[in-house]
Amino acid sequence: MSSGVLVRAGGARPARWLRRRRLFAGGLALPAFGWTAIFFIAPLVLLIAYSLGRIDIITFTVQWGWTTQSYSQVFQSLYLDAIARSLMLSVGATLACLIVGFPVAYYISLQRGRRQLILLVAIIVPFWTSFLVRTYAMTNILSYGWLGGGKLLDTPFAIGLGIFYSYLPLMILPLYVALERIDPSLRESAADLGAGAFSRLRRVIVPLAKPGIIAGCILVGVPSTGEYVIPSILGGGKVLMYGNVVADQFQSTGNYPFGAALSVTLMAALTIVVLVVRRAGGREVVA
Amino acid sequence: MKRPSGLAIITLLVLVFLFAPIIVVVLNAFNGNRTLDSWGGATGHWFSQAFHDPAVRSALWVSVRAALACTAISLAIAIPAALWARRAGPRARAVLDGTTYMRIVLPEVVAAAGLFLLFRRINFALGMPTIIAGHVVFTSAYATIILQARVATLTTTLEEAAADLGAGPWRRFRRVTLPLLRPAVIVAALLVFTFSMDDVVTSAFLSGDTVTLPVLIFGLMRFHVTPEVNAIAAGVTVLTLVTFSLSAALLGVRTGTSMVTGARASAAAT
Amino acid sequence: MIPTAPHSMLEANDPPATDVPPAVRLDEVSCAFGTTLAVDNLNLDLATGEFFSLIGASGCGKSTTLRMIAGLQRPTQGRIIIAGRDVTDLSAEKREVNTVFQHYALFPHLNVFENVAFGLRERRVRGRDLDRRVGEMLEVVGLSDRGHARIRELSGGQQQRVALGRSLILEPSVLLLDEPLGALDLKLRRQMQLVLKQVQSRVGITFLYVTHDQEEAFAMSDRVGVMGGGVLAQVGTPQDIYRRPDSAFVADFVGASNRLAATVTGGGPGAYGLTLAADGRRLSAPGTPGLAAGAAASLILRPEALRLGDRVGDVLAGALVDVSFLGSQTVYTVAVEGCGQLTVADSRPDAPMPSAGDQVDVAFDGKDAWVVAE
Repeated sequence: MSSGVLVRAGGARPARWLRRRRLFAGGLALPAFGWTAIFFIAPLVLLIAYSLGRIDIITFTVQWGWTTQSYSQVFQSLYLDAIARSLMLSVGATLACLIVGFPVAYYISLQRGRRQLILLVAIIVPFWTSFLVRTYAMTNILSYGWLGGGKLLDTPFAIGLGIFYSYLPLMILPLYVALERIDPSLRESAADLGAGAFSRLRRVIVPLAKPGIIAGCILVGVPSTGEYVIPSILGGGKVLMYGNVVADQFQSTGNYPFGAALSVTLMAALTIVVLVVRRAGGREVVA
Repeated sequence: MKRPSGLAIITLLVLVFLFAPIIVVVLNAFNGNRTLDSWGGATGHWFSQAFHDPAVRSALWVSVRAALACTAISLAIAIPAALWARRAGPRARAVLDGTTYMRIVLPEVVAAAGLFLLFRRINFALGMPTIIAGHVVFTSAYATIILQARVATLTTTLEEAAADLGAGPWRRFRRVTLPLLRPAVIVAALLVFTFSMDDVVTSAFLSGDTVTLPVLIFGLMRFHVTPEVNAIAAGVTVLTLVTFSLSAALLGVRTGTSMVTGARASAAAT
Repeated sequence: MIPTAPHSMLEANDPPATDVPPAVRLDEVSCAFGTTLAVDNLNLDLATGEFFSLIGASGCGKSTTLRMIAGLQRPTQGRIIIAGRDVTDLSAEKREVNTVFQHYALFPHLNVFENVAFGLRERRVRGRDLDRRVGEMLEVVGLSDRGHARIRELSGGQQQRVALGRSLILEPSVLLLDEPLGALDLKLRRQMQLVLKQVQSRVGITFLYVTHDQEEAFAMSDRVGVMGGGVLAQVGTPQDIYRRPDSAFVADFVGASNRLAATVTGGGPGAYGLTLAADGRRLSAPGTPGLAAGAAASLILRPEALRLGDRVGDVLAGALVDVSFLGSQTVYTVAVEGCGQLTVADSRPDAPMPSAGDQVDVAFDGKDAWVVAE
């Protein structure tokens, strides 16, 4: 890896100059790593530390000690409900996004020139539009007389629909990119060898789109598990998801260790899922 | 005109599905009927109500200032990082990519909770600075990805040519690298601005007594559909479309679109 | 305007008629993309078991023609008949032809075995039967020990053989090859040309080979078709095309040629009387039929038919512009008054090397020349 663009003629002070360059090069990365270390890594470490502490109910001070009390609380039946629901809704919405998003992404990847551009813009605009507005738009829709007149609101279904609606572009885009990369001659070759449309899809297109499928599922599935805004708006505060429980601990209840334990558990679980999924799908390399 | 394929029909339905609710919100913002269960004639009343609401105006101002600061800082972080990554070793680059990816994918609640604890621990008052700090964590990640995608298409040849012609490092950066990065910087800036303006969770945790617009709207939205909220939402949507059109106009739709799509894919592929 | 070979000429070049229908028949086939006509009213018959090449420059329509036969492109007009069966409306997967693509189009997510087996699996061939047949084909193409390799581990030549095996295993009535050797280096290309020719004669399938490389086509084919501007300029054996081109266009495409302007004074295809435009001298040379007295014509002379420094036969005086020793040949460029620059080629190892600017004589015999319409 070349460490610099030039080698200066005249070797008067090459060593010092080169060292300065290297320092400078490293310095470029400093803001990024520095900010990440302070405002991202440190908070996560803090969460782990707090999760192992204990809260004094009366004085609301946190006592440090190594206890897994908060973690056992996590698995209490009260909150297990919200946790299970979060998982199910997240998985369900992810699958829905995949099933609906795949044909759309495939269609767009088959278009050329202006048409493809217009379609991509049409997908990106909702993605760019305020998340809040889009979720709110769902409440508008679900309030309509002919859609139950608001009866569908405050249900797990509404939340699932909201997640599906908000995250759909996030599934379509990586799928589109993966499908776009597939050489059209592979499709032709499959047809030439006798494979009909469905067979081509099953045996060639989907396997080659696998990286995109995995990417899309992670981009949708992982953040949606910790969703907070959507359940609040579409669940009316009556249907709780993981994110709501966590937020509650910090904003109303004040039980920081418990909130921290919840957060750390979520992080750990998601990390494991991501690693497993990527390991499973990562064996094939797309040419 | 050929009979549209099944795929085309599905795509059309999905697009309708994606846009319809937003259009409904915008239309309802003009709905004279207070209860919104039917059309009550067009009116700009809710807009003026929202516009004259002092809470809304101050929240808007807070959000804009935060978003501007966030954009500046995010770019200051992302541009050097993207340039550094070009020449960094594979392990260092993996660390950068990993942390960038994590900042995007990790549920916002977790990151926000952690930051909340951090500021409490060091007794730092919650407000504008903490909001900005929180936003930058994930917006700089988006900016980094977009810029990295762009940097990947550049070769060092042009900079080498500039060096050959006698330009020092800073001048090379200013006269060759930066102009080449301009499209990505614009897209990144607009995207970061929009995301910062739109953020709820981090702002809710870290704003203390300061109120940002999304947090304000969020509070109102929990009581479901009201006309004024529709107006604000419609206004926000228009803002989005304006920023998007701006980027399209400044860059050409093709460049901007390919950049966002490519950035999404880079994030996903990490 | 590129002159089309008249139908009568095609028939004269066809293999002798038998009771067996042609392997492929293209009947007045056209293909238009928007306002561009990529293929213009093509008529062609391919005999069973022959190795036929379509050659032409980029954009001449040869690849489009191949794709129409494969079923990957719909003709806007005309019928395509394969082994007596009209397949024009049939999609690619239902046709009994297979294609070897230009960049092989091997499935990257499958290994060599699975690539070759792809079409068989589609036909529900399974288990031992599948293993046996794939194994046999891998032997035919010389890759028996690479069955489990990933495509990206293979060299260009090996990939090409996988692509070949993948198609041949399905025993198509016609195999279409779209410039498959383009990505290979010269030596490998020669090797693969031999392999293809051997495989074809061994298997007995009709091959339709598309390439822009005239030498390659000549080396392998029984018959060659020259295309230009969407139209078939000439169809015939390699010797026919080289020695007796129907037009200046064909003559230029299949080899270097010198063109001398002339007017026909009389005679017939066996020997036309000509007046050379350059200096008015009279000549006699064979040529394409149908040239009437008074017609403007071109006298085609191959570089190897010209002799430098000789004074026997018809002699033109000129000045040497350039001498290049190419190894197997020495090539001279001579400027002749009224004829422009002529290219002369000499394959003798001791060919003379005069200097540029020297006055030299270029000689030829009328019987070695060929007359075409202007």
